[in-house]
Amino acid sequence: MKTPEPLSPELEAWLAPHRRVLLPLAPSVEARALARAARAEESPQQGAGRALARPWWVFATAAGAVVALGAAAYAAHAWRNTVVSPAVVRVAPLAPSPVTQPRVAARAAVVAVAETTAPATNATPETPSRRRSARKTSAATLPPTNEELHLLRSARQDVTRGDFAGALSAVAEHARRFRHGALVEEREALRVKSLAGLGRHQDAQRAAVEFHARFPRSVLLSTFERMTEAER
Amino acid sequence: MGSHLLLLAPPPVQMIRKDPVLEAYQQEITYVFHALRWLGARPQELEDLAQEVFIALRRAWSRYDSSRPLRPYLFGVAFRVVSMQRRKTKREVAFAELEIRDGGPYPDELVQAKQARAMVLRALERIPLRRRAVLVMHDLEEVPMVQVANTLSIPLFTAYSRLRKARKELETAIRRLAKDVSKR
Repeated sequence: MKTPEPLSPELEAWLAPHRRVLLPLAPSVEARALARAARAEESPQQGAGRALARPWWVFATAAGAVVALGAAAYAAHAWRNTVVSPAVVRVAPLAPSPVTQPRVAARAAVVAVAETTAPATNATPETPSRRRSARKTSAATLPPTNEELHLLRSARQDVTRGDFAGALSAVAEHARRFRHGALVEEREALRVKSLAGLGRHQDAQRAAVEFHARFPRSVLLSTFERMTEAER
Repeated sequence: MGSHLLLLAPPPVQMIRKDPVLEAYQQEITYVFHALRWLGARPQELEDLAQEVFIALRRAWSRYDSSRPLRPYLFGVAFRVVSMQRRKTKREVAFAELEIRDGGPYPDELVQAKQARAMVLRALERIPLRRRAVLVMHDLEEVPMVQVANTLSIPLFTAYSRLRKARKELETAIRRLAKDVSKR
């Protein structure tokens, strides 16, 4: 049978001292890892064998719950579409039902707010529902205002110049004034770069992870990779 | 009298039964960490990946042939776990560089006696995982090539070719690193 060629003397000298050498684990690490394994062993959630051992009615209940949830989600979606439809918002019904009237009115207010400029949006106090709606409307449909563009352009120039503190303050200013603006993605990417440039690596790491969670398909993710490659 | 006998009786079998997977993992936990490290896992990832190895091992335990040595089998499981993790978190790994960019040394580099190991580890990082696994298994763990090919589910010829290429890459990487060190 074919055997591999022997190692070169140089490689042999490098690898021989590490052959079959197991460095002992720190007792705390070992204890933690074993405790985790034991917990996984007790957990009924993990392991295919256990899942198959469950009686049929567990699966039937789960399937029923999934179907019910799906139906509820579909109903909610259909209801939202009828309420949010522009025709309903813009044309006031002659005799609205007492239940839908406040919702329609609130929605109309949200659309009106979203259609004004961004500073005006920030001037009004935000409720959670209004905040969600404003984010959806502005990020998806509204173009960035000149002020917003200007702010982020100066932040980007600061990063290029190496003035990361300046960039970070511009980013903070943007976050304050255009919290849900059209360029949030660019702003957060600049935040990661500024923090990394300032040497605040843990903050940068955290911001990068948040960015990845929020914009998993962003083309700007590759700029972090390029940045780390270049700065390594 | 009956109740006394009941008290002296051994506990039910289920209570004293030990899980063979957990026992095997307990015995080889140091090796699991060791294999993961040689496969390129970073120190901060080791515990999570070891847990993944345990879960995968438990799932595959029924297919494990206990007449064969456990360590090459564990190495194969660790290889699959690391491969999957690399595919899943390709970008997150890049972020990790932000944190360690300034060259905060790995813990094992802090000790003078482990510098050579750290050098080999750094050189190994430059070899793609599929080839690195073959090299580590054969040249460090001294697993025969047939078993390497079986464990990694690749044809024997492919295993040989990966080994040959990985050795060349390792040699180049070590020379380059040694040159960098001597420049400092």
